[in-house]
Amino acid sequence: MLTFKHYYQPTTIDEAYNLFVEKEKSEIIGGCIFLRLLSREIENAVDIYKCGLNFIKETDDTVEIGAMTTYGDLERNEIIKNNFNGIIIKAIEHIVGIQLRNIISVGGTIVPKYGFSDLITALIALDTKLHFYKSGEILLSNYINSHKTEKDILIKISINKSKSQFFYSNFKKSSNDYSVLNISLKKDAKNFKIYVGSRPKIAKLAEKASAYISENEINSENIIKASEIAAEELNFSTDIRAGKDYRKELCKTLVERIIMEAVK
Amino acid sequence: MIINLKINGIEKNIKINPHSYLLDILRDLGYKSVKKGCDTGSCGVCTVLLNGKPIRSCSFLAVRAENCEITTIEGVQKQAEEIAKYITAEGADQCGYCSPSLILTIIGMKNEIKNPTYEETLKYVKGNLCRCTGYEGQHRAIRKYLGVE
Amino acid sequence: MMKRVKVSIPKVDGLGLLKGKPAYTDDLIPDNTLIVKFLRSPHAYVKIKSIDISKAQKIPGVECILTHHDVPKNLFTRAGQGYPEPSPHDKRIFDEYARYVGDEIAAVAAIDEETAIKALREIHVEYEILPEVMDFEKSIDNETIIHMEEDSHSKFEIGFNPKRNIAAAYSMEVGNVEEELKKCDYTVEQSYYTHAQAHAMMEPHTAFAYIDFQERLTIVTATQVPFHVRRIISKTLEYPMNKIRVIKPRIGGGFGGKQALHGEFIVALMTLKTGKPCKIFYTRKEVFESTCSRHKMRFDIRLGADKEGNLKAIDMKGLSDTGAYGEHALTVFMVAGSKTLPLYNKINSVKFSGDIVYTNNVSAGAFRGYGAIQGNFALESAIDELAKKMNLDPIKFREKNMIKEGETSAVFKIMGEGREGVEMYVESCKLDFCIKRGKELIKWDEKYPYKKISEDKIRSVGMAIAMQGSGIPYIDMGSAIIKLNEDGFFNLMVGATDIGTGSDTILAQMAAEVLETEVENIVVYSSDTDLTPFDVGAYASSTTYVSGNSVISAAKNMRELIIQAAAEKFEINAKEILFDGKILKSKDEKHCMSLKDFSTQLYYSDKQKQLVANSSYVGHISPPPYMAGFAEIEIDIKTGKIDVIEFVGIVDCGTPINPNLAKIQVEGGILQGIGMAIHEEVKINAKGKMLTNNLMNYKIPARNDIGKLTVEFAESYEPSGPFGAKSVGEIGIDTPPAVIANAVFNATGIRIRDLPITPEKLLLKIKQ
Repeated sequence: MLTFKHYYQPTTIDEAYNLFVEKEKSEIIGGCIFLRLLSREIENAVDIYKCGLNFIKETDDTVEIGAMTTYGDLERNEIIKNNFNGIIIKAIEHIVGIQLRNIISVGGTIVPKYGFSDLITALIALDTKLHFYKSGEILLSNYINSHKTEKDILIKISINKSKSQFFYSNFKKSSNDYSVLNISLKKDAKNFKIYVGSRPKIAKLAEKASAYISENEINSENIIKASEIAAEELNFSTDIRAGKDYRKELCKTLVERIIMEAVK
Repeated sequence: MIINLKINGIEKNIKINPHSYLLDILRDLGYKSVKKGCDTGSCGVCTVLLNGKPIRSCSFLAVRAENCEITTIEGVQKQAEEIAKYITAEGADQCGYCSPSLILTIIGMKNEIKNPTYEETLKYVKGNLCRCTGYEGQHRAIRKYLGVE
Repeated sequence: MMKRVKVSIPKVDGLGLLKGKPAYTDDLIPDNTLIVKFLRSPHAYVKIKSIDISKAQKIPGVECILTHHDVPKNLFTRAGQGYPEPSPHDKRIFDEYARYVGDEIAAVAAIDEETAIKALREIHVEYEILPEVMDFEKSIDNETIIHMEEDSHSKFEIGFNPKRNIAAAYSMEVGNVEEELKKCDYTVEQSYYTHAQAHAMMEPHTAFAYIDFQERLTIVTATQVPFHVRRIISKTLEYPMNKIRVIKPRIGGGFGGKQALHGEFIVALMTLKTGKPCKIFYTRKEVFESTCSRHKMRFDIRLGADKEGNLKAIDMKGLSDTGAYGEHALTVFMVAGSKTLPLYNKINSVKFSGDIVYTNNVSAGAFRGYGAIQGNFALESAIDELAKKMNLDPIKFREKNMIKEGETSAVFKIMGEGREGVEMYVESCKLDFCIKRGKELIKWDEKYPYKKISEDKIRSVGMAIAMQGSGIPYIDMGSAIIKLNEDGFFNLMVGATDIGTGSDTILAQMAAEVLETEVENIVVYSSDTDLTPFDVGAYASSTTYVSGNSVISAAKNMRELIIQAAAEKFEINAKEILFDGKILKSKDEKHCMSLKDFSTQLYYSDKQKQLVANSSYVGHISPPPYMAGFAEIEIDIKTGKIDVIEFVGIVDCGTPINPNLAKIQVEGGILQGIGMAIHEEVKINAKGKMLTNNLMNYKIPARNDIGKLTVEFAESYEPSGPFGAKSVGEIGIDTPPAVIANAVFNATGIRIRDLPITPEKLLLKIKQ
C-alpha cells in the first residue's frame, strides 16, 4: 500500500518546485499509475496536478505539450492528429484502454525513462525537447543518457515542426500488453534515422543501421542488411515478456518493415 | 483531510487520507457498482466517469477528483437500462461483474462520439476485460444496440 | 412442444446486476467489519522457527492476530468435494511449515486495511529456509520431502505416498497395450506439456463472517460449494454444524477457482475470536499466488494403428503437478483420461496411468475442464501426428475411430472421478454432425492444410474433438424445494450454485415448463445452507443435468399436490381434474377456479395448507456432451504471432435449456482455451516466486485477441437428461489448445508440444 505522510497540492509550478526542493525526502506525484503499485510511505508528496501543466499548444513552428497532459488528451487533440504523420497517436492509441489513457501523463512516462514506453520511442524520432523548471531545455535523447540527481520538475515538451516524415510500429504478443519491441523512423529525403525501444531498454538510435540505409541504394538486399546491422549494434535482454534472442530476431523484422513502409 | 466530491450530482464532504484512491472512497460511500478487480489498472471493472470521461478509479487519487463531476452507474440508471437490455437479451451478462463498467464506458463514449461506428465502439471498450463471455456475446449486443445488425 | 425450455430468455438477475445493484460478497458487508489480511511466506519452503507478534499487537486498531500457535491443528483438504473427500488431508490453517511462496503464515484483523498492512510489517518471523522442489519432473524421490508430517492422510486409497512426494497415483489397463503396440503398423510416441493456467476470474476471492442474533456463525462467501464449506469449517474448527450458516451471494466468476475453501477459515476464526464481523478481500496478487491454479501436466502418449487406419492402442502416461497441497490431485488426473479416452472406443487396448506429485509451487486445484483439457491437448495432438505419419486426412481418421451414438467404451466402467466409473451406452452423440458442420463453417476443404497469404503470412486450419461429463454418477446429488404462494406464484429453493452461469435462470425455466406457468412466476433462491436444500455445488458440469433433474421432479410433485388439493376442495377424484398451469377445472366442467384464487384460498379461507414439494436426484450415468472445434489461424512467420482468424465450435449438449446462455458458456470456454493455448504464460523464478502474478503480466485474451467466434448446437436429445439436456459448462474449453497446435503444424510443419504456443517459441523454431 502506498501512503503519504505529508501531502501538498501547490497551484503554481514555482510553489511546487520550492516545496520539492525545501522538503526532505520529497517526491513529485505526477502520473501516479506505477506509484500506486509500490508498498511504501512517501514522506513529502508534492502533487503537481493543479499546476496547470495540462495543455497542448501550437505555434507556427512548434507544438508544446504540458507534462501533465494525458494520453487521452493527446489522442483527442486536433493538433496532435494533424502533425508528425500522426505517429504520437499511433504509438499510444492501442495502449490498454481509454480509461487508463485518460489518466496516464506524458511526464509520468518520460521522467522515469520507462524502457517499454511506446510514446518515448515516437517522441525521440521527433527530436523532442524537454523543458525542466530549473535546468531548462534538453533533448529527449540526451536526457535519456543523462544521470541527473538534482531535483527538478518537467514542465512541458516541445517538438519542432518540420518537413520530415515519421513512422512508428511495435510488436505486442497480446493486444492489451506492453510492447515486446517498438520502433520509429524519421525520414528526410535520403536520410533515415531509426530508433528501437522496449529492448527492454529505452529507445535508442540504431546509428550504424541508419547510416547504412541512408548511404546505400534502397533495395531489398540493403534493407535486409540494414536490419541485420541494427540487430547487431543494439543491445537486447531477456525480461518477463520476451527473451534476448527473440527480441533480436524481431528487431530485424521490425526494421525491415518500417523501412519498407517509409519508402513506399 | 476533507474534500468535496460531487457524485452523480450530489455533493458530499468526505474525510479521506491523501493517498486514498477514488475506488475505495466510492465503495465506502456505498457506490457498490464500482468494483475492485486487479490492483494494476488492467481490468476496467473500476471504471467511473470523470467529467464525462471514463477513468480507472483504482488508479486515480480521490483528492484529485475534487471539483469534478463523478458519475457511477447509480447515477445513470435509465441510460444503463437501455444498454443493459441488449446485453441481457444475448445472455452476455453472465457473472455481471464487468458489465456495469462496460455499460458506463459506452455511456462515456456517447458523451464524446455522438454516432459511434461499431469499430469505434470496440476500440473504446478495449480496456474492459471479461473472463466469462468470450466477448462475442457482448459484441452481438453492441451491434444490435448501435443498430448495425 | 416446449414453451419455456429451449428458449433464450434473459437471466433472472441480469438487469439488476448490470444496473449495479449491490449483490456480490464485498457489497454486503455489515458496518464496522474488521479487515483481515494474511502474512504470507516469501520463500518456497520454510520452517517457522519463531513468530513475534508483540509489536504488531500494540498498533492501535489491531484487534486480533493469529498464528499457528492459536488455531486448531486439524488437517483437512480445502477441496470442495463430496464427503469423505478424495483429496489428501494435508493442510492446516496455519502450520509450522510454509510450502510455497504465498503460503499463509499468520493473519491480522484490524479496523482498516492500512492498519492491517502496518501490523503485517511488524510481525517478525524467523525462518529456516529449506531446499525447494520447483520442477515436477524432479519431485519423485527428491531428497526434499514436502509433506514430512506423520499425520497427513487420505480417506481413500488414492496412492498417497508423501515420503516420495506423491500425492496420488493411478493405473488402469484394458487388454495389453505393449502387445498391441507391437502389432501396429504405425505408432507415435511423444510427450506433451500443459502449464498451470490461472483462472483470472474478474472478482477476487472474498468472504466475510459474522455472529447473528441467534449466536450462529454466518459466513458469506464467493464460493462454488457452500455446503462443502459448511461441513469443512465445522470439522476443522470443531464447531457445531448446526451453528454454522453459509450463504453464496452473486459471484464474479469461478471456473473452478472458487471450488475450494480460501478465506473462509480465517474470517470464521477471527469472527469467533473477536465477536465482530470480519472480512477478507484477496488482492489480485493473492489470487494468482495463493489460491490455486490448473494442474500442470506432462503426458507421454503412445498410439498405434494398423495399415487400414484403425486405431488399435492408446497408452497415456501422465505426471501431474499438484503443487504444495493435494487438492483435487487424483480426481483431476483421472478426468484427463476418463474424459478423453472414450472418444476412441474401438481400440483393442488402452492404458492410463501416472503420478500426481507435490512441489513447492502454488497448489493446483479445480479448473474448468478439470484434466480433460490437458488430456485433450495431448491426445488430440498425438492423433493428428499419427494421421500425418500415415498420410491420412486427420478428420477422416477421427471419423473412422471415434465413438458413435449407441456405442460404449470400456473406459466408462473403469474410470470415474477418484474411483471406478459406470458402464454407459451413449444415448446421444452427434459428433459426426459436429464435425461435418464445423468443417462446412470453417471451409475446411478450401483451406486445409494451409494457404500462403503473402511473403510473411500463412493461414491454416486445425481441428480437434472433445467430450466432458454431466455430473459424477452415484456421487453428485442435487435437490429442490418448491412452495406455492398465494396469488399463484412459486418459490424455487435450490442448493445449486449460480456462479454467473445462469443456473438460477435455467432451473426456473425447467420448473416453469413443468408447472406450465411463466418464468416470472418462479422466484429462485439458491445456495444458502439454512434455507435451500442440498446441492454439491457448481462443478463437474452437474448443474443442468443433476440439479435440473431434481427441479423437474420437484415441479412434477408440486403439480400433483395442487391437483390433489383441488380435488379435496372440489370433493371429486383427482383423476377428474384438468390443470393447464393457470386454471383448475373438473372434466365435467362443474368446477373451475384459477390457480391465483385457489392458492389464496389455501392460505386464508378453505382447507388451508402450505403446499411444498421437494425432490432429489443422483445421476446413474454421466452422459457426455461432445464438441468439435475448428480454427483458422494466421501466422506471421517473421514474428511468430498467431492470430485466430476464426474459431468454430459445434456442440452436442442435448437440449440447450437456454440457447443464449449455453452458447455463451461455450464461447467463454473457447476463449479461455485459446488463452491457455497462446496468450497465458506462467513464469516462476528459480526460487519459486511467481513473476506473472497480476493481470499486467499474465495476459488473458482481450477483445482484439480473437477474430470471429461461431458456436452452434447439434440437434440432439439425451433421454436421461432434463428435457433432453446434458451439461455444457466445461466442454467449450477443451479443444482450442490441440486445435491451434494442429493448425500451427498444418501451416509450418512445426509441432509444438508444450503450451503455451507463444510467438517466441514459434519464431525460434521457425528460424531453426
